[in-house]
Amino acid sequence: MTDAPVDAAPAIAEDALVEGSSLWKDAWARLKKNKVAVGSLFGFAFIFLFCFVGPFLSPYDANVQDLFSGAEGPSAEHWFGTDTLGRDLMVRVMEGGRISLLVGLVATVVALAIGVIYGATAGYVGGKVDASMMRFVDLLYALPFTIFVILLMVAFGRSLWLMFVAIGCVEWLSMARIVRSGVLSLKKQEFVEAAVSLGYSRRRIIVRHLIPNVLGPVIVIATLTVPAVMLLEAFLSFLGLGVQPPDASWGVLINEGQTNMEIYPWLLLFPAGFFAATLFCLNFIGDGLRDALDPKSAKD
Amino acid sequence: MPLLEVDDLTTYFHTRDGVVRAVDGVSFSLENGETLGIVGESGSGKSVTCYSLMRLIPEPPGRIERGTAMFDGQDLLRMSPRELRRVRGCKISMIFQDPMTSINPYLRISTQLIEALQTHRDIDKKAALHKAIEALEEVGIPGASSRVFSYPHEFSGGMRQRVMIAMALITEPDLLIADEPTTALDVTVQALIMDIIKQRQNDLGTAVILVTHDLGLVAGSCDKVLVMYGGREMESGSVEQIFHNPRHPYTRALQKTIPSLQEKGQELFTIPGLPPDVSKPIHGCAFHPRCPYPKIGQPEGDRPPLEEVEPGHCWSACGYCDSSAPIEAVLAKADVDAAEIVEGDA
Amino acid sequence: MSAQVGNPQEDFLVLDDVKTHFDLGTTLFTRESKGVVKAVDGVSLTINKGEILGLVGESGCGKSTLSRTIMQLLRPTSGHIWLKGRELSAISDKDIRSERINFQMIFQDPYASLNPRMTVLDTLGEAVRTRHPELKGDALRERVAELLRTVGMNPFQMKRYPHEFSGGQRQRVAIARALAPEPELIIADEPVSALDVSIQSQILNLLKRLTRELGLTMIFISHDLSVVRYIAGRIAVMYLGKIIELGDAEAIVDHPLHIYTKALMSAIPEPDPHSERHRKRIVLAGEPPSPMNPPDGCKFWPRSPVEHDERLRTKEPEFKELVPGHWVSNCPYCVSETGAG
Repeated sequence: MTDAPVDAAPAIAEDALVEGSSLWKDAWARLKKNKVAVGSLFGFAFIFLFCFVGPFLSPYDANVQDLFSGAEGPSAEHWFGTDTLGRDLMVRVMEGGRISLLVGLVATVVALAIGVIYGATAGYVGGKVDASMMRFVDLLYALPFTIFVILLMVAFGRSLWLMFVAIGCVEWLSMARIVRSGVLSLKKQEFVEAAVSLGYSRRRIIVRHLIPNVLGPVIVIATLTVPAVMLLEAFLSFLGLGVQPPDASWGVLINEGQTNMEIYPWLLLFPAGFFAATLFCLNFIGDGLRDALDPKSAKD
Repeated sequence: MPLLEVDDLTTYFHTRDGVVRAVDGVSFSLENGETLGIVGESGSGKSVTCYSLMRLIPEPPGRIERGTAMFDGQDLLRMSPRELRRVRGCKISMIFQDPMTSINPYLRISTQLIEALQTHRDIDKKAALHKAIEALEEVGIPGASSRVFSYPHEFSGGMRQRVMIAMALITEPDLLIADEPTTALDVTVQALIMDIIKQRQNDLGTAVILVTHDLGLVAGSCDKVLVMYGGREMESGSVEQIFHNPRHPYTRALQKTIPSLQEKGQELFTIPGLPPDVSKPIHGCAFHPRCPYPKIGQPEGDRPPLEEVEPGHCWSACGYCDSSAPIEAVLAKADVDAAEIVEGDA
Repeated sequence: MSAQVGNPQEDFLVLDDVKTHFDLGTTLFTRESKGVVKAVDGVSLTINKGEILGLVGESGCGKSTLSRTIMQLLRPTSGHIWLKGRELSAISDKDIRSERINFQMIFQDPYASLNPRMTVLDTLGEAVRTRHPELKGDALRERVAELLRTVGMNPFQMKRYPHEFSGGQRQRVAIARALAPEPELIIADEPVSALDVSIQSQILNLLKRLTRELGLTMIFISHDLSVVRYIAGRIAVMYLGKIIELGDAEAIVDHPLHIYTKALMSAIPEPDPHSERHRKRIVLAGEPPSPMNPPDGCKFWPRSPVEHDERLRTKEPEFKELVPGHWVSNCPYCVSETGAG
């Protein structure tokens, strides 16, 4: 071994090492500078708290009907007004938000988990395995979503969790395709070749080398998937396939609201307003993330 | 009257992380038909100099802070966009390093060549097509009359570069700027491309600015040389002066660190350290931190003065090193070096 | 086995008529062959322990494919490869993984050859553990620090990420990674081509020194003959998947026998204005060819400045040792015995 002229090589203590600045750190710094994205993060956080913590602070119960106070506009007692059955709209919007957001987040996480692993494996292994895996995806893609969900609901009964699964089952397909194409282009990078030539197992290469490098675009897509899922849920609820009364999601509330929108406009405005605000925030956050993670704005 | 006279050209980039002084006060001149080689490594500012002349710097974050570039009686750096359009592609043309990305892949070669001509000349399509075919023949593309209708991807790398040369020269410009035109090509193709450039230059009397890191190319093709480092001029002169009597330590060291076929059995020297960070202000000579000559004190002030070695030959005369000895005496020898530790960035 | 193939049991690395072909398949309906890319088309070579062999050629000559074939990143279509008596080409895909610590590669692009999401410590630590899986924590860090010092890097930087280093520094990390499993054979594929000129010589000297000090054997691939000449003991010139000339570096440079080798050298510009403008050059027609469906016989005839007789074109030239230690693809039109530089 070389005897370096550095005679007493200092012990490499953990704290003596210079901390590096990972690409995530750089991205976070860039994101913080994007005012719209930061504002949207705060906005989304507010909406989230509103929906999940709000009901504990409200004196009303979302399902208690008060037929004497039916369909009253916003007032001091009911800040958002009441619906035709006298239920307080604000707490219904909060609880509706819980369901919509839950569906959005859970289904997206499910789609992410399945899609990333499926897509990364297909992309890396390649050949016939990749071809058959992707044909399977193509097949599922071709199935009409609505019919598929209806079949599921009919077979297994209508439940919230089943809806999560149904939506997750559809969304993972796009994720898988995106991850696969990311992996395909990464595969050609020399650090992957280096990993192979060092004798690393396939699993290690996929998990440690490929997936962390496709996470960037995946996170962006995930952030934009949440609003897409929420819209899907609203659509299902609109059809009567989703959440069942007395529970309500924003989609259900919007449906109820639009039937009487000329007479009782607040019944539509509040849930629609919150829904739209959430979608806006998520979209701006997604855009901000994409710009922050964009390699072109990275140091080199 | 020189064709192009550049004085104190300075281009900075105002980025999040600070001001990057990409080009910091560079001056040179070029006569009709002359070839100037701008030599430097990455970060030297050689490419940004040319992009500044063509006003292709994105502004923001870039900005041409000061300087003049007198071309044909007008200052390129202060022209209006309208006037610039009349100069670009017509009087001054540029060819780039990567032939894959510098030609529009969606248009046929004929379309692009004709467009180049018709933009700057009053000429009808048929005559333009004829000229286009001629242009391709002049750069040695076989079967030009049919190949003119091909798409760029149907040509190989070397051929595409020839097409780019044809496109650049079809309007018979006074000045051709070539930014590392052969770096991406095989060495045999490189030789052919340089021959073509030289030959067309002779035919048309065009002046050429050749930007490169390859000293061999410079030796073979250039009349004058400008050596850049850290955005500044280190040395300039005729090609014989620079190669046979280099004065600046960087020029001397550069010549010694390149393995060359003719230097049989000679050692390969290294220049320790890394190219400078031009986002930080540089005091004195940009090369001082890496200069292998014995140092005398710490440099102060903005930059060393330009001193004349012999007529036409100037160098940035750093007063803080003793460069009297030949460079071989001070450069680390190949087989004897210790494992030098290269520091990471701050 | 042709005359110059070595003895697999005695010599360090032996290649016997290695071919790596890529079959492009057949068209869907008419079942026509889409062609075969004969990237490596019959390479036989013996490499001695401790030597640096330079492999030179232009694009399409197959040097990169050959390097990946030796590394078993691509499996040869036919032929044999032995490393220290073990036939690498015969080992199954599953078992080859454990063999890999004996041969490593340094890649060309320092910006793509390190995982951007892993620190230098992570990357090198992972590599060290291929040979020493028991190392972790402090002991692992010490070993990584030692590796970094060997390649001239400050070990206290090991927690930084690749994008925080310059190209030359990244290449040093890549070299450290190649050294981590303690291999005996290193293939360097254009390791300095993407670096600045003033950094190239640093890395070249580093590689030369390491090879000597660690007792490594190296195959150094480059398109740049002057770089190869500096670092290599012997040089092999490749063209269209075959080695057309092989010999000591000085012999190849001073007395090349094949006209392609002479043309390659004459194309390199010399950094001296006077000699550069006045020397004679051999100009080759056309561009480096594609290895798809190469011609039979002497592959060089389409570009050779010397006209080849039509009837003799398809005759496969013999790879002959014309001068002791100096082999050449002995085509009568391409080779002249009076090989002056």
